[in-house]
Amino acid sequence: MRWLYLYFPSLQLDQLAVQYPAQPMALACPKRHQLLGVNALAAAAGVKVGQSVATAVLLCRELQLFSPEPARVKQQLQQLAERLYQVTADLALQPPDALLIRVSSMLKLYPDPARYWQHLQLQLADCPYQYLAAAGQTPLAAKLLARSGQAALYLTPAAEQAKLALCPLTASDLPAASIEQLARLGIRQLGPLLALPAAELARRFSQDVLQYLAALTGRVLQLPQFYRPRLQFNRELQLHYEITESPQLLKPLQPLLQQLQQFLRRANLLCQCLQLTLQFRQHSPLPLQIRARAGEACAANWQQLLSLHLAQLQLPEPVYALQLAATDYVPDQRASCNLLAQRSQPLSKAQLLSMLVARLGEKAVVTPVLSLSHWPEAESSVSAVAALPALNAALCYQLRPILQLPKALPLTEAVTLLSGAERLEQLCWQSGTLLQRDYYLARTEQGQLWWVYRTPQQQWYLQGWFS
Amino acid sequence: MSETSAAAPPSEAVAYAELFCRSNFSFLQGASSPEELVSTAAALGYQALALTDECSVAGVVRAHRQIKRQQLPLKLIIGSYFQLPGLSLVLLCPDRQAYAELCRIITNARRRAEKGHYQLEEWDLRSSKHCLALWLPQGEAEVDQYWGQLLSRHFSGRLHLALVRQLRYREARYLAYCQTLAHDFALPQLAVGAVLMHQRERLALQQTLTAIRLKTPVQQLGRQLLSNAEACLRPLSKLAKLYPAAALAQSVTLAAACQFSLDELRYEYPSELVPSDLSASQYLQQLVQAGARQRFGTAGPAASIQALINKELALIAELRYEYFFLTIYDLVQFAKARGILYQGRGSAANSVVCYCLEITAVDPRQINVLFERFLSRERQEPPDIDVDFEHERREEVMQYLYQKYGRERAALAATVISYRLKSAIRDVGKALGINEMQLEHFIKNLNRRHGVVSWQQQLSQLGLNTEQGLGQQLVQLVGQIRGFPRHLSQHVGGFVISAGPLYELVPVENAAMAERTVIQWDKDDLETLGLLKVDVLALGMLTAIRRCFQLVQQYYGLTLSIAAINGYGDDPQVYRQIQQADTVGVFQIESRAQMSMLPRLRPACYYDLVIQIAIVRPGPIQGDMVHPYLLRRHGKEAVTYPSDAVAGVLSRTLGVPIFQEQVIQLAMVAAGFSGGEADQLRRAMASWKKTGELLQFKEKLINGMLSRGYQQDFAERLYQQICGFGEYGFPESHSASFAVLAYVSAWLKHYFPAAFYTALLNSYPMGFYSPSQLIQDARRHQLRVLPVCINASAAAHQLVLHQGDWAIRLGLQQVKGLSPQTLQQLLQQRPAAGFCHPAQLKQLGLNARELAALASSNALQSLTGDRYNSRWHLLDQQTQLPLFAAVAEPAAPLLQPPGEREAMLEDYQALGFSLDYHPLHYLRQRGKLAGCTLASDLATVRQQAVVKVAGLVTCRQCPGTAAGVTFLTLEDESGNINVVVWQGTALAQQQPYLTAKILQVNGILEREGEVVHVIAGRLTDLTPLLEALPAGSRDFH
Repeated sequence: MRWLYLYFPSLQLDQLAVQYPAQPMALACPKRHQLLGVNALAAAAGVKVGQSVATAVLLCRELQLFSPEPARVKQQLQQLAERLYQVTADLALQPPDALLIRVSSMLKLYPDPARYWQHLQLQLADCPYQYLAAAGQTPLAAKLLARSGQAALYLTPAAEQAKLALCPLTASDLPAASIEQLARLGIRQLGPLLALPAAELARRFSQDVLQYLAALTGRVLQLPQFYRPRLQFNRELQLHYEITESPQLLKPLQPLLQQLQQFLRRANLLCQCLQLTLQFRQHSPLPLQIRARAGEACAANWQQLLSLHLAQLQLPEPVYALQLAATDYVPDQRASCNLLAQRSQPLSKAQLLSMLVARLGEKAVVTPVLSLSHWPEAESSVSAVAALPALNAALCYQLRPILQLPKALPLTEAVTLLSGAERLEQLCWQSGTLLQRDYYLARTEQGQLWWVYRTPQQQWYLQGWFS
Repeated sequence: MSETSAAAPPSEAVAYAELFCRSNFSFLQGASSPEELVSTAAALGYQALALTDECSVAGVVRAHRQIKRQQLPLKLIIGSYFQLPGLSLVLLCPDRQAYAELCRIITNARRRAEKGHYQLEEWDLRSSKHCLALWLPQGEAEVDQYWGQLLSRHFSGRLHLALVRQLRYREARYLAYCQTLAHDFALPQLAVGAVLMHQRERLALQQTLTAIRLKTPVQQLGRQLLSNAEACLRPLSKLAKLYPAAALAQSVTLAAACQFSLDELRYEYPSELVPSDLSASQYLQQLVQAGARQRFGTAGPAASIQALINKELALIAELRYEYFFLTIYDLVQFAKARGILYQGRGSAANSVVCYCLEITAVDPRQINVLFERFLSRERQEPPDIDVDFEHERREEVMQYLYQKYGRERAALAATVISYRLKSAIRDVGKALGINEMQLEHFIKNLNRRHGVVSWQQQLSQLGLNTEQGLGQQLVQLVGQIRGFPRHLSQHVGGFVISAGPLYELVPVENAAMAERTVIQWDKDDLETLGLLKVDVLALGMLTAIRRCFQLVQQYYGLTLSIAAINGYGDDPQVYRQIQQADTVGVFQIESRAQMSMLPRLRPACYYDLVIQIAIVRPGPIQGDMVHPYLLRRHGKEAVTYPSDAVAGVLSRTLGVPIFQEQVIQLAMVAAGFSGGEADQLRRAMASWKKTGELLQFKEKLINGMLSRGYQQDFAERLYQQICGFGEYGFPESHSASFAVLAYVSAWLKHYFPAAFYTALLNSYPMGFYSPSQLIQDARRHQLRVLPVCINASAAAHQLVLHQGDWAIRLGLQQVKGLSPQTLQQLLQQRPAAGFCHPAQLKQLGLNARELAALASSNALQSLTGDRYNSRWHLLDQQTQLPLFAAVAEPAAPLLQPPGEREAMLEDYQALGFSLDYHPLHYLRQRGKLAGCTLASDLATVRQQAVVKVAGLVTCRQCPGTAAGVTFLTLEDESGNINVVVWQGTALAQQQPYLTAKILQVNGILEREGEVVHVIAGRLTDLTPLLEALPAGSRDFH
């Protein structure tokens, strides 16, 4: 046992299974309407990888379809690596769905391979993922065994060879064209391929094939790139005394924020989110999230944001310990401008928004968005600042009042119509009728400019005021 | 409160003509059909309507037809709308010259751009001498000044400024600007509506069309959508409020100046067909007489036939169709000279005149031809002659037409491709922003054949909420958009030929196919205007028959022709074979449904075949006419007629209506339809799927028949039959021509089977069966089939003498992936003694893919022993070097040869069949099919016995005639098995029913005469036993 390959065939579906137990599920390619993965319940209904979505749904009415999320799967794999890194050192990510471990170096620390394997299994025990594990003399041998579904952990080299010989070439890393070519020669397993004279193979196949075989059999050693844990700031602090008033928490937090500042400056990073977790004796820990939209490194600024958060916080019981973790890093690109202006810089828009969100909560801070519909009520909407879409600069603006009523009011004042009519219509699907309004620019006796409309029933309404 | 617009006071007596109106032939812009627009305009009291689709006149004939049919008090003006950067312009036709000019401008603009687009150039406008122009300024001073000057110069006295009032944003400002422009250029102003819809309720559909055109969901389009529904046909009272009176009056003045009507279009036949010293009538007569001597011997035809000829010629002369017959005569003479086999069919084809002109081979003595039945004075329909040519050589005939008449004078008719249910759901769904995966799911699961459940209900069953929200919108809009034209495509072979340039008659545009052009009208439009088209169609069976004739000539020394085989008279042995449904490969009567009818109908003469071909069609089946006909035919029911008039129509089909012509005649004699109404009924049948127009005839037909004393049941069935014909019309005239080919192919199959199968295989793709099925059928007829061999095969399949008997040697063309060029090269360079080493093939310079294809087909077996070693040799890169040019013997094989299973799968992948193994035989030998009965043994199983059968699924058919029933065809090593699956069975066992390639069926045997079915109970998917087998089933075609 020199290399161990852990293969997780269905990371995304396994995680979804936690959310939807007893539910037949499949991953489908949204473009080609073809299934990419199925869970056991779906397979039991006859649903298979490669089937069209239409056929699959006919076979299994309850089938729930999901789109593949490569970003999420990448994160899952990263988390698995973090987990296993606790017990094993030489670990390599094999995206999208596997981990490779150099066992030989770890075996010095464990009495025997079985004990080592137990430790690894323990780390994986509470994960929802299915996995296949295989060990081999070379990384590629371990990989081929695992991907062929051959659970092989403690084999003698000879037994390993025998097992490898039976592995289908379709599970190998050979180029797909070569696999097809070999199959058309009747060679579908590794054994018959290795039995052919290398010179004859060289006359017929590309270098890729020969290199793969050399690496697989250990004639050439290829080391993977090993995993390095991610840069992380995570500090815990046991308080010397219990704190009952939340603003008092700022004091012990100060040194932590200074450490954070140092840490971020060294790495030339900004942090967009801090996670502060407060520990209580009885009550379950309370996590708080503090965001800085543009990213922040400065301890003083973080302290200001934290003070706004903490000012409103009611502590359920005294805090005895806390944990401060930074997440969501971005590179610091504020190119250290303005060396001269040392003090009292005005707040940037992003900083202001962060402060407002910190003070008032995410739902309370919104911004208007133009959707450019003809219909005034649908023309603009509000969206949370956190989800602010990029503004489309190419929008065409029309002369519309800045101040519009969310719901038009009956017109009670006499007005003079200046221009119009502009007719706007929208279909009401429920009744199948067209809603119709004729809009006019009107002036009141006081000289104000109003936007008013008339319905086909000759009723007049006020829609908005021009400034 | 007062409005500020300077509109005229409302007036009761206001008159208006709409001169800018686009229909749904401005694809994805107009939201109403030409018919809807003219009907609404007439109802609103407009004096005239100009249909001005964008660079198109494709919709004008429909509008014209609607006005005539409904006798609307509305003048139709022909025009077209054009755009250039900075310019929007409408051109109108005051007279025939202007119309020719407009057609030329459209043709030039269309021919410059690829299909579906156009490119107008300034030159087009500068060259205009006759059209009237309506200018729609853009509102940008610089641009408008430029175009104002240019247009004023070239359209002097013919240019108007068109005012559009649609209550848009800042319209008053735009109108004031237009006033200034009109003043600056001294142009008269005229009111137009810029109409896109016939009524305001189409707004949502118009917005959806915009979303489809811009490929963006409607919710994201914002102000790119119409802001209101003013682009509709508006009441006069409203127009009077909106426009200055002078602008309205000007529209009427201009409309009055437009005097051109489509009725003026006269078709002029190419004159070069007739010798200068003869009239067309004389020349036709001369040709017919010469033909009659050839057809009926020097003594000429019998008096009765001569009388018929005279009558037909008189009718042709009266209706002035001589040139039409002469054009077709010219075409078939060309084909005859080139040795291209052809056959005419259609309403006018089965006349004695056509027989004498050699357009058809239907001998009038064999069939009681009543020419009037086909060409009718009172039904006012144009003559219809389609000519089928060998499918591989039709292009020669088309090229002949282009050469003879030039591209200016010959073009293909258009086919209007319309939104069908599924394309409508896809496009509207996308426009509404519905997830595409969900849409595909709906579309794939909609069962169009579902008799009982409507598509709306089906969508709802598939999980769409059709009561509210997007689902409701989808259902409403799909309902509206169905039948909307989407683009113009080329007709399968309908040529329009004219005396002068065609583009003065109708615009011509590019088709998708390179070097093809189509006119902007379809066959109905041509028919409406009385323009004739010549149908040049392709038929695979003619190719096969010609090939078979050649083989018979070459190997048996016998000269055959279609007319000669018919001349031998009805051959009882051939009919015996037909009655036993031994008709794989026989024209028209080879399908599963036809085969099951043959032993029941038992055709014994030519006319029986005519009926046989027509009876297995949706019309007679939906009208429930099959069973009564069979009962009467076998003497189990008396042949009676409700009246003498009906007897006259139905006597030749024992009182049961079978053919489309009979149904129309019945409508006349039994329901009192006039000739004109009957013609409308015929057209409605032809376009029933698109328009659903047939319903309007139901009441008239049934009431008419009841009032004349016919049974309600008979009337209802007749209506159902008419609906069935609407789905797939099949007239007797076509059946009569098809029956000739059916008989000829059956005759060849009976007397020259080896030549017949070879010819069929060489003419593939054609017909109902795959080469695999044809080869198996050949082997069941004790024919030897020899494999593809690099040294023994030619390109095509060949007839060879093998061990003292005729055998079929498969040709190298059967090898998938071998190009015809390579094939030629290979055969040219093949040494006299054949190749002896695969390296020789590589040295010919064949590419790797084609070499692999040869190895896969096992054509190299004689050199290397098996496929694996063939490929191994071909992969060797060293043998390409000149040093190895002299290699004599392949080295000893290094690889294990393929097993039986691999060899069989490879056969199927490379050739589509296997000569050595059948998958079912393979499975049976390995005990996987325990208890399964062979297809060949089913004949001995007793009725109602429980049986178990298994086979490759070669066909899944869900005919519209039998709601919910699927016919499966299973193939095992001994033959085909017919399986009937009821809907319940299918629903309960979806997986094997839909996806199995190899299927086991436990069921009950049903026997009706010689027809054996297995009614399916349990379905078991055996595909996993041979997973790699390629799929070869024709499913739900």
